[in-house]
This record gives sequence, structure tokens and C-alpha cells, in this order.
Amino acid sequence: QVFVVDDFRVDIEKHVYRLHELVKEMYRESGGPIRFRDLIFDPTPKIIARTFLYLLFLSNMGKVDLIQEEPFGEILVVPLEA
Amino acid sequence: MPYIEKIEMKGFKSYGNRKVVVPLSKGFTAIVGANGSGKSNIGDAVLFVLGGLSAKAMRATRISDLIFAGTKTEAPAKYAEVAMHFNNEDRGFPVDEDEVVIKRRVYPDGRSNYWLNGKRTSRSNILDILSAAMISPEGYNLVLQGDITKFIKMSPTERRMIIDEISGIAEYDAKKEKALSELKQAEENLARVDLLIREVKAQLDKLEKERNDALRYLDLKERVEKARVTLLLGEIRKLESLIEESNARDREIEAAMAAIEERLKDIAREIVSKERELSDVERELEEKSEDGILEVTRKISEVQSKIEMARRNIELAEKEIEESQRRLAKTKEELKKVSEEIEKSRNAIQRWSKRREKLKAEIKEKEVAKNELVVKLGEIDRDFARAREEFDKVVAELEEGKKELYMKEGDVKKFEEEIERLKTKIAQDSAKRTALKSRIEETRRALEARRSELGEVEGKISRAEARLRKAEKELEEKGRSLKKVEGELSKAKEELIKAEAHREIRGNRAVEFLKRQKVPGLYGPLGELITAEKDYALAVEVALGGNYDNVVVEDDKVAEKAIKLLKENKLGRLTFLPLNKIKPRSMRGKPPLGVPAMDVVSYDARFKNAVAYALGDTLIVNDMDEARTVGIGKVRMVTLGGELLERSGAITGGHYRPRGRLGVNVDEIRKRVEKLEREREALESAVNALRVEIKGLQDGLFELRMKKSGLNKDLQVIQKEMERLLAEDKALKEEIEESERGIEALEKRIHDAKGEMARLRGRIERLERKRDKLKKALENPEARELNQRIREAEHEISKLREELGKVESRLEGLEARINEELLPRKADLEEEIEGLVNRINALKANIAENERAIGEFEGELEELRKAEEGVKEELKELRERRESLRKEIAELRSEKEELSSKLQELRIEANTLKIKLAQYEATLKEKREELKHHDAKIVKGIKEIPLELEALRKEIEEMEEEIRSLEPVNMKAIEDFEVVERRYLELSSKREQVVAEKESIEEFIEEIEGQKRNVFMETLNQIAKNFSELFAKLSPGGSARLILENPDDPFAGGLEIEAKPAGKDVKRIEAMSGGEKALTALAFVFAIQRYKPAPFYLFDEIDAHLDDANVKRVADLIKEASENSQFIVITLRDVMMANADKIIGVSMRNGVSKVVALSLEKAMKILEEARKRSEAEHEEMFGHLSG
Repeated sequence: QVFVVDDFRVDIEKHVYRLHELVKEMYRESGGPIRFRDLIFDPTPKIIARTFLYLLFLSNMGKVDLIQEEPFGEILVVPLEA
Repeated sequence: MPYIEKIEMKGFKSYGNRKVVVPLSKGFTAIVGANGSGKSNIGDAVLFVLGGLSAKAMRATRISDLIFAGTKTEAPAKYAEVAMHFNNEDRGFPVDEDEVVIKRRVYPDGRSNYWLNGKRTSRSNILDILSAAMISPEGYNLVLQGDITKFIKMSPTERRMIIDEISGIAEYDAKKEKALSELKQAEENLARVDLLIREVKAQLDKLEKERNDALRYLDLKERVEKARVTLLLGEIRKLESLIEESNARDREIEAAMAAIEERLKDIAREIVSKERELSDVERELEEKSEDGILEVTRKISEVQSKIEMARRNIELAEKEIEESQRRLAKTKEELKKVSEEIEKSRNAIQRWSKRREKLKAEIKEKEVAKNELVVKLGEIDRDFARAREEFDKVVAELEEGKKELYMKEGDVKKFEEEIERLKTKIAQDSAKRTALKSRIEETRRALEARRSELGEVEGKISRAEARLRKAEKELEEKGRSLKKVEGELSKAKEELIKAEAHREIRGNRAVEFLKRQKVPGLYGPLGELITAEKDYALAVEVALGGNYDNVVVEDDKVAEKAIKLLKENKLGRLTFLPLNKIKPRSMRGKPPLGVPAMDVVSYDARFKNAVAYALGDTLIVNDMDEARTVGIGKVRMVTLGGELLERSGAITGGHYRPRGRLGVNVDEIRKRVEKLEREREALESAVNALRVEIKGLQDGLFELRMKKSGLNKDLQVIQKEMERLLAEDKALKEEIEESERGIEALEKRIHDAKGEMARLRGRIERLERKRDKLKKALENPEARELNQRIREAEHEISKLREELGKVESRLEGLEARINEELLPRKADLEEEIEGLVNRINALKANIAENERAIGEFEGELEELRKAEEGVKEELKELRERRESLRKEIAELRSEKEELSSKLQELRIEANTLKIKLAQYEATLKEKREELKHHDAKIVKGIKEIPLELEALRKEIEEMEEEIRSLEPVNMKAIEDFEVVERRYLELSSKREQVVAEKESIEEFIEEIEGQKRNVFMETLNQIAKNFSELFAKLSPGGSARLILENPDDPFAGGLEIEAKPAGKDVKRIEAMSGGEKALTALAFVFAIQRYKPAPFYLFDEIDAHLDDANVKRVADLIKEASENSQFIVITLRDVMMANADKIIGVSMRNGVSKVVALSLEKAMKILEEARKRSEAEHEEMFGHLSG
């Protein structure tokens, strides 16, 4: 899959996989779904937006499942076994 | 303004069978997700629900393709449905509810259903509602993927129409439409009135013409009567004045004739004197051109050839000097060599002399020793001594012979060298001769060419001279003939004039008229058809009497025709003699005396009857006595004196003025005159041609003579050159011969020397043999010892002697070379040098001499040229004089000619005048009579009589013509016209009303258009201002403008975009990069948004080609604009996402898209709280650490 995003295109796969690892690790530790907000290491709009986008990529790749009960409600992330 | 609250999709594209809700709100919403996850399908859903019909715009082939197609695990949808919820709290939609829900469903067969707030409705109703809220599926607020450049790509006109729509000028168009239909009505009215007017006008025009005709007719009638009287009066007056004028003219003519005759005499005198002068000039001219010019030309060419010769001499001398100097240098070189050799030889001689002295001394010493030995030996044997003596003598002789042989060999060698030298010289000379020969040949050819040319020129000259002589002779002859013809001509002319005058006086107008009519079969008056012998002329004329003027015609029909003509023209009466009817008269028996008149006249046989009718019974007698003898009353008789004795006995006599010679035919004379004139003309042209030819020949001759003298000159030069070349050739030949003789002599000497050498060799051989014999005789045992020593001594001596001999021979050779060869050679060379120097000096003197001669010759030439110029000038003057004299004579002649003919004309005129006078008087009488018939009142009323009667006559004719053409005249038209004219004026005023109405409508339309334009311009100006500002914001440092293609009429052209991105020149938008285009387009969209915001904006990946900085600027702008409108932006860029209020995430699992919504604001708040909380916890646990 190719992601066409200029400034961090080179690193995007790296970032996506790193996020995946993080999700998996957190899942191992907590044993339950992970809250989206817990994945944010820096509360700036850009980082939030980016993390949200990477999660969408991972979901699209079938690596994670995103669960939202209501619009703008809590987003839960569950890693999927390949 | 309404905004979208949410979009619900079911079975739409990738969104599966379950209902998916996309929550939206006011402000800025970003839709994000990986490629292919179904982000753009949300945009498609918006288009779909707004009633979009283009499947392509929604990225599908058919509308039914929008239905979810199913996956491995999920079944396909039965239909696709999208519902859009609008917030309508501000009643942007014309629906009285807070929420407006529009729903569209499409089935696999392509059928679509629409619902508005849950109620089924039609697509058009949906479109109307949307349009009321300013929403349309094709609106500029919807920018689909890759579509951002549509504002760039669209035509200027399409771009302008966006502004049209925004400014809402459609209402003006509707008003205009209405006004236009009113205008059409007005135009129709106008057309109707125009039709009526045309009808009435046609009637009016017709009546006007008829009325005018009637008026004109009355006027003409009156005027024509008046004009007729005026004409009569005028004619009378004119006749009176004509009579007066004719009398005056007659007097004038008399005077003019006298003057002309005087002048003619003068001219004749002048011509004689001019011709004398001309012949003088011609003689002089001939002399000058024959001798003067040719002599000078010949002298010039002589001097020129002399100059040429002198120049050639100088050239030759210079060449010779060069040659001599070269030779001088060579000789000097040789002299130097010879001198050196002499010096060297002398040195050698000195050396060799020393050597000789030394050898001589040595020999002497050795000989003394030897003599001692010999003496000793002699004491031993006397014989031996003798032998010894002889041996010595032989040896000496031998040496002598050998020396001589050496010398001879040297001689031979010398001779051979000399021969070689001579041969080389011969070869050189021969080569020179060959070159010379070809030059001689060339020169000879040139010489021959010149000679043949000269011969040709001489031939031409002699031919031209012969032709000239012939032409001159011919000219003389022709001149004589011309003079003769001229004399005859003038005589004939005079005769003609007389004859014509006679005829004019005698002539019968009627006959002349008939003759002019050229009636076939009409031959003329009898008198003119008869020629009488001279002595009988008078008698015949009298005999003809009244029959003279009888006209002879072919038959009675011709006569009838002629009579008719005479009648018609009122030309009086004539008697005709028809040849088929006329009965000849004859005499009853020939009387003894007198001659029948028929016998003394000649005539055409055809006319015999007519002639016999007049003269057949008439006898011509000498006098009355003879008549009496014949018997008066017996026969009709005429005497030669002109007395007529009729058969009746009546005798007529007295003075008779002859009418003129019978048969003097004017026509014949005229023919003769014409013939003579033709002859004269021919002669004159021949004379002129001859003169031209003579002049041409003279000029040609002059040219030829010049050419001949030039050729002669050339010939001389070439001949001299030829002579020089031949002399050179001869000298070379002699030199070669001399060299050959020298070789022969030398060879003889070599031969002699070789003979001598053979003789010497024989002698040497003999002497050697004798010496050997003597040597044996000297073999003596006792003496051997001595002898041995002697021999040794002798051997030494002989060796020394041999060397001495060689030395001496060498010396001799050297001396001989010095004395016999080198010194004479030196002397020769010195002599030659002197000779050459003298020669060079002589040549230089020669050159100087020649140059001086050239100077003289050139002076001479200059003078000769001047002389030539002078002679030519003189000739030219003479020629000019000759020409002018000729011209003068010709002029005089022509004047004479002219005067003569004028004189003749005057004579004719005088005669004519007299006849006319009589006619005038008769006519005058007639006219006075006629005048009495007219109304006396009118006659009195005429005050002015025009001079131009012809014009008046023409006027009368024209008036009569017009009167005829006017008939029949409608007199009623005068009244009818006024009635119709009133009707016409009424209609015209009605037409003016209609026109005014039409114009007011047109004005109204113009006003509407002005308002429309104003509204448009206001909108455009605002948007253009926004555009420029926004572009500057999006592209800092850049600038852009919106420009009307046609500022005078905005609606006739489109709207252009001119953009200048930062740091670049003005770019045509086509040439801009994708990012620049996107920025420009966005500036345009935002400019409109700022002027008149749409309820919502949907942008699909407008940031694809922008770098982060630009995305940030665009995002900021969207953020700012989102305060007034809702923005839904589909994007992949984090910078854009970071600026949004809400983010809708789209991802696809197992072929079905799902949606996750994130509120950035809310997330930030939660995170901030979490951070604070964790910080608080941290602080609680560890206390405040930072300082």
C-alpha cells in the first residue's frame, strides 16, 4: 500500500508499524481495548490528527479494529491477529 | 443559512447494507482515511442526494452502479439510499420546519425516488427547494476530486456566467424580455402604418405627375407660340445682318487676296536667296569635312603612333638595361672569380717555384755525388761511361716527351670544356629563337587581321562613296522633277479654281443638287457630257442653247424620281432627256456647205440620241454669207461667230458671253490636281528619303574614315614590332652559327692534339725501350756496385727530376693558365664590363631622349586635338547652319504653299459669297411675308430676340415634342391631387406617434441593460477585490487579478484570470504548476464565498498538489471562512486535518467502509484534562520539584 503524504511519506510506514507495536504492547499489558486518547503522546492537533490517520491505515490494513458507539464518542482500538 | 447536520447512507457504494451516519456540524469538518477506503464516496453521496444526474460526476458508469455491489460475506443491496439532514432554523429553505430532510433512493433499474421530509416528491420539486437555498448539484461550492482546476480550465465566458448568477442579474433579463415583446408590438404597428403610407404615396405620386403634366401643357402651348414669332423675327434680323456681313466680307476678301499676292512675291525672292546661301554652306561643309578633319585625325594618329613607338623604345631600352645590368653583375662576378684564381695561381706558382728551386738544389747535389761515382765508374770502364752518357740523354729525352704529353692532355681537356660551353650557348639561343618564332607568328597574324580589316573598311568606304554619288545624282533629278511637278500643279490648281468658279456661276442649283443625290441612271447636264473641237466650241454652245442644261437620264423612271426630288426640295424645274424615250433629230439631206454639228463634238456613244436630239438638225457654217448660200430656213444653222439661224427663219445674234469651254470637266481637272499632288508628295518623300540617306551616308563615311586611320596607325605599330622581332631572330641565328663554327675549330684542335699525343706516346715507348737496353749494357760486375750506387743516385735524381718535371709542368701549366687564359679572360671581362657600362649609359640616354620626345609629341597631340575639336565645332556649326537654312526654306515653301491655297480658298469664298447674297435676299422677303400671319399683339409683345436662333429652333422643337408626349392630358388631376395629399399628411403624423412609442420602449430596454451592467460590475468589482486579496494571502508576495475580456460590454466577453505567483512573472494560467493552479482556483472560490457565501462547501482533496506551507495557508483560510459557511474537506494532509473542528475517519474492512468521528476540540479538552490530572497526580506523589 502506498501513502501519498508529502512530509512524512518516508517514515509513514515506520510510524504506522510503530503505532501497531505500541497498540499490541498496550493490549498485552492491559488485556483490553485501548482508548484512542491513550495513544496520544503529545496533545497537539497535528499529533492527534496524525495518530487518528495511522489508526485508520491500520484498520484498513486489517491490523486493528476501531470501535465507536456514538458519533464523537470514545474510540476504542483492538489489535487483530493476522 | 442552512447547513448539513448529517448524512445517512444505506447501500450506497462501499457503505454496505447497514445504515451509516456521517455526523456533520457547522464549521470545518475534515474527512480522512487511506486511499480507497471510501472517503470520496461521501462526496458522491452529497452529489447524489442533491439530485445529480451525471453518473460520471459520482465516479460510476451508471446511476445504478451506485448501489452497494456486495462482498464475499455480504449480499448486494437492493437499492442505494442517501438522506441529507439540513438545519433550517433560519428558514433558508422555503419550508416551515426546523429540519429539512432530503432523501433519494435509486433502484437497480436506474429509477430514482425522492422524499422531502418523509414525503415522496419529484426531482424538480427537490431542485426548486434546493435552488431557493442557493444549493445546486453543479454549484461551484462542490469541488470534486481533481476538480479544483475547473475554475482555471473553464472558458472565460463560463467564468463570467458564474458572476452573472451570483449577482442575480436574471431579474433584469426578465424585464428586458417583457420590454422586447412590447417593442415587437410597436414594430408591427409601425409596419402596418408604413404599408398604408406607401399605398397612398404611390397614388399621390401618380396624381402629382398628372397634375404637373397638365400645368406644364398649358404653359408650353403659350410659350411655343411666342417662341415661333421670336424665331421669325430673329431670322429676319439675322438675314439682314448676314447680308451686311457678306458685303463686308467680300470687301475683306479682296483686300486679303491683294496682301497675299504681295507676300507670295516676297517669299519667292527670299527662297532664292536662302537657297544660294545653303549651297554656299554645303560647299564649305563638304570642303571642311573632306580635308580638314581627316588631315587632323591622320596627324593625331601619326603622333599617337610615334608616342607609342617612343614608349615601346623606352620599354625595350629598360629591358635591355636590366639585361645588361644582369650581365654586368655576372661578368663582375666572373671577373672577381678570375682575379681570385689568378691570385691563387700566382701563389701556387710561388710555392711551386720554391719547391722547384729546392728540387733543383737537391738534384744538383745528387748529381755531384753521382758524377763522382760516374767518374769513378768511368775510370773503371770508358764504354760504360759512354753508355752511361747515352742513357742519361735518353732519360732526359723521355722526361721531355712525358712533359709534352701532359701539356697536350691539359689542352684537350680545356678544349672540351670550351666545346661544352659553346653547346650550352647554342641550346639557350635555340630556345630563345623558338619563343621568338611564336611571337613572330602571332604578330604576323595580327598584322594580317588588321590588313584584312583595313581592306574591308576601304571596300566599305568606296561602296559608300559610290552610293553617295548615286544618291546625290538621284536627289538632283528628283528635285528637278519636283520643281516641274510643282509648276504643273500650281497651274492645274489655278485652272481648277477657275473651272469651279465658272461652274459655280453658271451652275444650276437644281442640277448640282441632283448630282449630289447620286441618283443611279442620272448622267448630268447635256452640255457637260459633250466635248467640242476648239474652233467650234462657241458655235456648238449656241446650238445647244436651252438644251445645255437638259439632264440626261437612263430612262423616264429616273426622270420621274429626279422630278419628285426637285419638287420635294422646291428646287425649281429641269428638262430631262430619258435615253429610252428621246427622239433624235436629223437633217433632211446633207447641205453642200457647212459641217453638221454632230460631226464636231465627241461624246459617249450611249448619249448619241440625246446629243442628236439637241444638235442632230444643226449645221455649223463659217458666217452669215455661207448661211445664206445654204439657204436660211432650210436647216437650223449656227455660225462660228455665234449667230443662230432657226429653221423658222428666226435669227438670233449679238454679243455672246460663252458659258465656258464645253466639256471642261471640273472633276477631271480635280482628278488631275489630285494626281499631281500625289506625285508631288511622292517626290517630296523621295527627296526627303534621299536627303536622310545622304546624311546617313556622310556620317557613315566619316566613321569609316576615322576607323581606317585608326587601323593604319595600328598597322604601322605592328609592322615595326615585326621588324624588331625579325632582327632579333637573325642576330640569334648568327650567334648560333658562330658558336657552331667555334666548336668545329676546337674539335679540329683536339684532333690535332690527340695526334700529337699519340706521336709522343710512341716516342716515349721507344725511348723507354732504349733506356732499358742501355741499362742492361751498364750491367758490369765491378761497376755494378758503383752502378748500383749510381743507379740509386740516379733513381733518386730521376725521382727528383720527375718531381721537378711535374712541378715545372705544373708551373708551366699555371703560368700558361694565368697568361694565356686567366689574364686574357680578365682583360676580356674588364672590356666587357666597360662595354656594358657604356651600353647602359647609352640606353639611359636613349630613354631620356625618348621621354623628351614623348613630351613633345604629347604637346603636339594636345594641339592637334584642339585643332580637331575646332574643326569639329566648325563642322557642327556649319551643319547647324545648313539645317536651319533647310528648315527656313522648307518653312518658306510651306508658307508659300499655304498662302497659295489660301488665295484659292479666298477666290472660291468670294464667288460663293455672291451666290449666297442673292439667296439671303429671297429668303428675307419670304420671312417678312410669313410674319404677317401671326397675331400682331404677340409680335409687339416680343422685346428680346435671342442671337442663338438654332437654340431657339431646337427649343421650339423640344417644346412641340414635349406637348405631343404630354398628350392626352388629365385636367381633373389638378383637383384630385389636393384630396389625396391631405390623406397622406394624416397618415404621416400617425406614423410619427408610433415611432415615438417604439423609441421610448427602446430607451427603457437600454436603461434595464445599464442597470444590469451596474449590478454586474458592482458584484464583479467586489469579487475581484476579494480575489486579489485572497490570492495575496494564499501566495504571499504574489498577485492576481480578474480581468474582463471586454470591459466596454462585459456580457460580450468572458472573465480572464491573471495570476502572478510570488517571485515569478505573470503567468498564463495554463503554464502554472498544479499547486499554483489550485491556489488560484481556491482564491476564486473564496472570493465568491466572501461576497456571497453558499450554505456549505465540499472540497475533495484540493490540497493534493500543495506543499505543507500552502496547505497550512489554505487550511487557515478555510477555518476563517467556516465562520460563515459549512466546510466539508476530504483530505489526507495532517496539516489540514489539524485545522479542522471535526474529523470523520473512514476505513474499509472486508470491502465495506465504516466511519469513525472525532471532535478535535473535544479530544484536546479531554487530553488537556488528562494531562492536568496526571500532573496533579504526579505532583501529589512527588511534590512540586521544579523551581
